Amino acid sequence: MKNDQPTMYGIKRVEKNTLRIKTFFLEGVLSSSPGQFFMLWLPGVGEKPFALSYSGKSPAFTIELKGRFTRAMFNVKPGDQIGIRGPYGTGFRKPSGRDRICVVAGGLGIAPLAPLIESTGPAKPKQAGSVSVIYGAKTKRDLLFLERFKGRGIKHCTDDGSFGFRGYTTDMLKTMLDVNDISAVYTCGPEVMMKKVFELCEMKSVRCYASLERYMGCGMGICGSCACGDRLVCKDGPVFSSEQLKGMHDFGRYALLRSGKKVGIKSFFEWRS
Amino acid sequence: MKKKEDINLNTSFCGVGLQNPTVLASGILGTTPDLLKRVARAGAGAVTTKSIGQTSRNGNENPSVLAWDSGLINAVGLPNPGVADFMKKFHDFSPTVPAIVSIFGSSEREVQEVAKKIDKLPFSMIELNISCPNKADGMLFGQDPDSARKLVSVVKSVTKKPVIPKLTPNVTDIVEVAVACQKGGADGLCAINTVSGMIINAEAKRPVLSYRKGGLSGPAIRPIAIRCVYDICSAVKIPVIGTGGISSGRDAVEMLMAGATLVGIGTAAYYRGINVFSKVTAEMRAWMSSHQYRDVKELVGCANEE
Repeated sequence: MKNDQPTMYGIKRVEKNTLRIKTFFLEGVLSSSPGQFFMLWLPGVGEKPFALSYSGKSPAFTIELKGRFTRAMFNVKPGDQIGIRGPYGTGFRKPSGRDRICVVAGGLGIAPLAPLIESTGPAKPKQAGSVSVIYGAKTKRDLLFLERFKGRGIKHCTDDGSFGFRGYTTDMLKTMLDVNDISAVYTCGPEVMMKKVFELCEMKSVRCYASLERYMGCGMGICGSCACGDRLVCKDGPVFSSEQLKGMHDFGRYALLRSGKKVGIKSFFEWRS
Repeated sequence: MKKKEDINLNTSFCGVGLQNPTVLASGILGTTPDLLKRVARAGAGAVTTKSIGQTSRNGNENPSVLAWDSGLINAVGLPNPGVADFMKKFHDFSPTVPAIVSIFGSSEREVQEVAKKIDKLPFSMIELNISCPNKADGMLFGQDPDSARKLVSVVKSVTKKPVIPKLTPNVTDIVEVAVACQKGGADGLCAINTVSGMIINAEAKRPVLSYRKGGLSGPAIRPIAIRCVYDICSAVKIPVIGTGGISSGRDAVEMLMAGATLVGIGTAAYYRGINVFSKVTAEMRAWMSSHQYRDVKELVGCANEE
């Protein structure tokens, strides 16, 4: 039998990253594989899944202001307590010394991948064991962790060209795959972007791992709220490999609303925000 | 010792044939046709959808499911897309094992409407959820024998499919409700739904579920379920799906001996994975083989004989 309920953690400090994004550092220690998630509970408000953006001795969650839960989260102050259970789901495979990984992150998709990026050295795309990072956001103001990853050789892209490359992460990935011998791509971000990343990888026969988002209920694989085809995003994922993604007809196409109604992926993400 | 391959787990329920007596209980994993098929591939003899009502509902706020020492507690609260969108989602559903559709409603007319619409889909049976403890209207019909009887007869009048009311243990006398359902024309019964309970998080000083109370499932409620099924089977002639805390082949045997024809499995999918169905049937075969049983039907109700 396992007892799986929220444990209360104190908030140590809150960092404002952008107008709509804050990072909440916790008292205590909390770790997971990059890509795994925890259910955060605000008593009287609700519970939502988030991945650690900082793992280990000074753990933190980076959260974007979206709905009722995140609005309440934005009022959380140092000294307040929040409930946490987890970690749940699959994470990104830990890169081995032989891998040449390319990380493609879009928007807040950088958060779950940040501990993985942090644990690897500066990118040397031609060298085995190296992790290159392509990270895009709308504008410079939306880019996270610029200081944290200074000197890390991250390839930034912005839609408006206000920082780094002007254009999409997928444009950059295409060049990266053409020029370098990449053994696997790890991606997290908007599903349209991840779908494109997956397709580019398929064309080049490069293995892809993508972290999917769906509305979650239980977080532990029984309620069926987060079904993507016959896969459970909370238990079988959220990180899925190319082999799995190939069989997931709903990937990039359909998702379930909280009621279980099946809608197009665009309507789903409009509802989410 | 009988050879395991000689053991017959085939059975039938309300005229529907099953390859083994395990059924995916309603509320677990039954949100999409693809998931139901996956559970069938994992060895379930039959599968049940999450409950469907007339209009779309979001259910209760999370946390809505948690694990505690001896089972789960949930207050999911009947989220469902409403019967019209459910029909769209399941329009080309081709079940690989018998599929049961679970329906609910807050009035006789509402339940009747859902039953009428759903009648067109390829489900083998209709389960009437009159026993959800997690919504104000969830147990309206399940806690009063007369209301239960009337609802069953109203639903029976619009469908040819077997109608199986699912009963709540949150009553003084579950047998009274079971007998009333039989009088109303129920073809079978399912017992039990979850047992009402509450867990408080001491550090947070409040109930941990957003709905505050919830329904207990899993090993903790197995003796309650066994007792309910035993008593029900002593009083009615219609067959019963025994549900509540069944996790192993031996648990299933126990439930069949109490009188159940089929066994519902839900929470055990959390402890043992979706393949719990093939695990349970393999364990049943092993147990039957070493105890000289050849046919699963020999087990049904044998603990109930004088």
